[in-house]
Amino acid sequence: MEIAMTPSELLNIEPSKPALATEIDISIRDLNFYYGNNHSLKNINLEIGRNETTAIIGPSGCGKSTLLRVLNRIYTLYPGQEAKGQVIIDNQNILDPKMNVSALRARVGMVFQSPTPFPMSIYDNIAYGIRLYEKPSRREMDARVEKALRSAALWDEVKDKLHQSGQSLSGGQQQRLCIARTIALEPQVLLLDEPTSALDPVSTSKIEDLLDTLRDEYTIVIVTHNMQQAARVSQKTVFMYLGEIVEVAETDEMFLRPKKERTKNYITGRFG
Amino acid sequence: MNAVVKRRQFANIIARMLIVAATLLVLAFLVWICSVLLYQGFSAFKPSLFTEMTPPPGESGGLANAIMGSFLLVAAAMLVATPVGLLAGTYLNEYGKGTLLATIVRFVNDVLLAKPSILAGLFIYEILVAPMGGFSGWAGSAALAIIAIPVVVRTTEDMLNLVPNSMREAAYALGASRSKVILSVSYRAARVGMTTGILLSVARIAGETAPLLFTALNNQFWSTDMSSSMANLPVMIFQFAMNPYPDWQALAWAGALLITLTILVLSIISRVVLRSATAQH
Amino acid sequence: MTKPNMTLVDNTKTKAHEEAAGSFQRSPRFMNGEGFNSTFKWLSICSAMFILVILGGFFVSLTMGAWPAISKFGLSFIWTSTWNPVTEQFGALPAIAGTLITSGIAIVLAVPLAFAIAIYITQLAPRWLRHPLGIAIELLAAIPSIIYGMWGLFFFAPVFAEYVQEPVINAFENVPFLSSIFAGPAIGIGMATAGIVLAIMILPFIAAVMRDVIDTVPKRLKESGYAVGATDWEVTRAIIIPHCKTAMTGAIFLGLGRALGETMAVTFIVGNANRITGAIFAPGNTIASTIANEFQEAYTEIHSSSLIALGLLLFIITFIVLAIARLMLNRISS
Repeated sequence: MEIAMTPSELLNIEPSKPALATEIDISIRDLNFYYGNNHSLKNINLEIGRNETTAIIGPSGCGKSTLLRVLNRIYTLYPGQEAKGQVIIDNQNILDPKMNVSALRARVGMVFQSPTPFPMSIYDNIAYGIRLYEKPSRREMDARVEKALRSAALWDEVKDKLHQSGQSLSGGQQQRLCIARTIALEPQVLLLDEPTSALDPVSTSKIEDLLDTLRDEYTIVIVTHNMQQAARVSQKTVFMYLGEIVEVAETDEMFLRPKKERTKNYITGRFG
Repeated sequence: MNAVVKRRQFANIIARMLIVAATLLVLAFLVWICSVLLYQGFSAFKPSLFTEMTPPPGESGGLANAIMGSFLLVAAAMLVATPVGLLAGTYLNEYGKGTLLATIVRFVNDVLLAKPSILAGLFIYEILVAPMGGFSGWAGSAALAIIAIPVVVRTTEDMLNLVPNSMREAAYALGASRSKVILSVSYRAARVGMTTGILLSVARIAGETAPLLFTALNNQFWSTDMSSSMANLPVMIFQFAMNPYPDWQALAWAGALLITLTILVLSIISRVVLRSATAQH
Repeated sequence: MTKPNMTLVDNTKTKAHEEAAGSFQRSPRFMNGEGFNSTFKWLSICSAMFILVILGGFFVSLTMGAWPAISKFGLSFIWTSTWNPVTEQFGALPAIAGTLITSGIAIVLAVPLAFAIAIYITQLAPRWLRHPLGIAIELLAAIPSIIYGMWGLFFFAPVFAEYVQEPVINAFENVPFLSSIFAGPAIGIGMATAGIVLAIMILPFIAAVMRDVIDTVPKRLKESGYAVGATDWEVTRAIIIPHCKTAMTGAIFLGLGRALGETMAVTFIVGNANRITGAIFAPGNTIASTIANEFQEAYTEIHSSSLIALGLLLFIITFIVLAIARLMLNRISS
């Protein structure tokens, strides 16, 4: 359960950067999703702006993670899951069966709920993704790894132990390592599925600060059950309920003046 | 304390005593068998075991050809059993999870795991020895491979199953292909356990005698030719132990000790390796 | 490996979407290895199928090898009690009877002992002792069959003859019925000896599975037993045994499957006599020991074919027993 907050209380937490009027990066049209016979996303229409952070909130089981997992087609790993409709990125419908999922995933990176460092060194964790697509020289690779770790605000903490196991890091460091691994591919979109729910408050705030700086370069979509986090990091917020989008608004707007009764109830903690 | 409680306590004490007594009885047998093996084996132990050939009746000799033969038979068997077992285990956990084929294969593999090893000997006799008209090292290795494969399959599947799915998803999310995820993430995460499976299957086949009786048979002489009958420790032990010559019986005990020590070392290594690996997580 | 559609990376400006919006520039390096991806998958599937081929191969090859015997003797092979290579009369009954008697003795002895060990390791033993004890039991399972045979023949049999067989035979000498069961020459080897050695051999397998099964009993279930004041033994009887009944039966079948086909140890000590007696101290033969003993000396086609027919019987019996074991054990894991 969230701590109940009134919209005006939430307003005190100001996003550090003002929302920008942006061009559209991802546009989702008439998306329906099925887990076997379970119709879990219903007629989703949504536009996600370039270089801004969009937060998706809603009670558990509302379909927010499912929506995220459609955007890089990670759901196709599991038989019986099916998406219908269109998700357009750069004029291409990524749900097209002919779409090359590897190329898509290089462009739409994803960070998961619990940190997932691979069983290899910190350095190799970053290099792993790069090597899937390129074969840079040793020096070039070193530079790429350093750049990724710097972007993820992890470099200073690990630069002396790059060849230690990635699994030896603390939980928060592991999660930043996973972010570094994803941005090492220099994607266009960054998907984050409750990236801080397994972390302590200090690590959480580090990741939130990081997301703030990453927004200049990436389109970020973050799923979170933590409304304060949504308010802190995002410019736009999507509220979902039972597989449908209830309301989409500028984040300040949503938390200050929710238009729908259901949104208001949720963000003030009257149901969850 | 009333009578009912007293009676219950008494029953508990009796049961405890019986359970402890049963455990001690089994341990006593273990100690008996091990001490016999150690005493008999070490009495017969001498450096010439490793340099001299198995002797003709009435003479003394060593085990050099049998040791070499056993080594070759096991090595050739593992050369086949390792890739087949690893790949089949990979199918069960990475590709086929939940499919009918995987369910059937898993079931059959579990049955094969406990099948009498003598049947593997008969099977290979029928398909290799009889048609080719003679006993051979290759046939012996084939029989051993059939026994080793289910062990490798089982441990590979179990160990891959311990790799968290979130790690695979993360690799897929970077755009890695399925084979890449399996080879570089799943195998890497499970490599220690998979190695253990291979060591355990070597331990399992190192002492197998029955399947070699009808396949590799035995050979009195030094031979590294896998296409003819081949000396090996288990069959040599069987033949020598059943004979009245004291020298032969001593050699049989020395061979028995050698095999058991090998198996013991393999089990200890795999146990230590596995423990150090699971301690990391 | 070449990199189609891939411009070499310049460290300062590498963002794929800055290069040319509107198309997915990057093709993964392994695109050329797309073939490898499917090859690897097919190799895995083939290896998995190979497991089925092995089982099928067992059945087909044994049936073919046994065919001369099957066509000559028919089903009566199973209940014919003559096994005589000289007259070329072969019937499986002595071997089947010997197999059932030795395995029966083994199960009767091994099950309570294995159960006691499993209970001791999981419930009663002090924590520091559990691990070493588990290793000791595994060691018992790792000793090769042939070593049990040598120990059984040279060390156990003489002791057994002097301290068990003779007193027991004498004790039941004048008791009707029992005197014919506990009969036979007190020479140490025989079906009872084989059964006892088999019991020691299969016990670690049964104990290990039982231990794993007992570990699946939820802690709160046991705690609620202790909470009403039950003793260790009462918790075992009222909670652990009922909870694990099916899987424990599976463990017993697993042990039975091993006992039925155990070869080398039995060959050393069963006595190798192809006749049926009701006496458990008498020498006998099992399916596996008959094959191991006679296969190399079988010069006539019908003799070796009859031995393979015995193998086919063993295959079918153990398949059924092990399949039952698996079905019972799988129920708990799913």
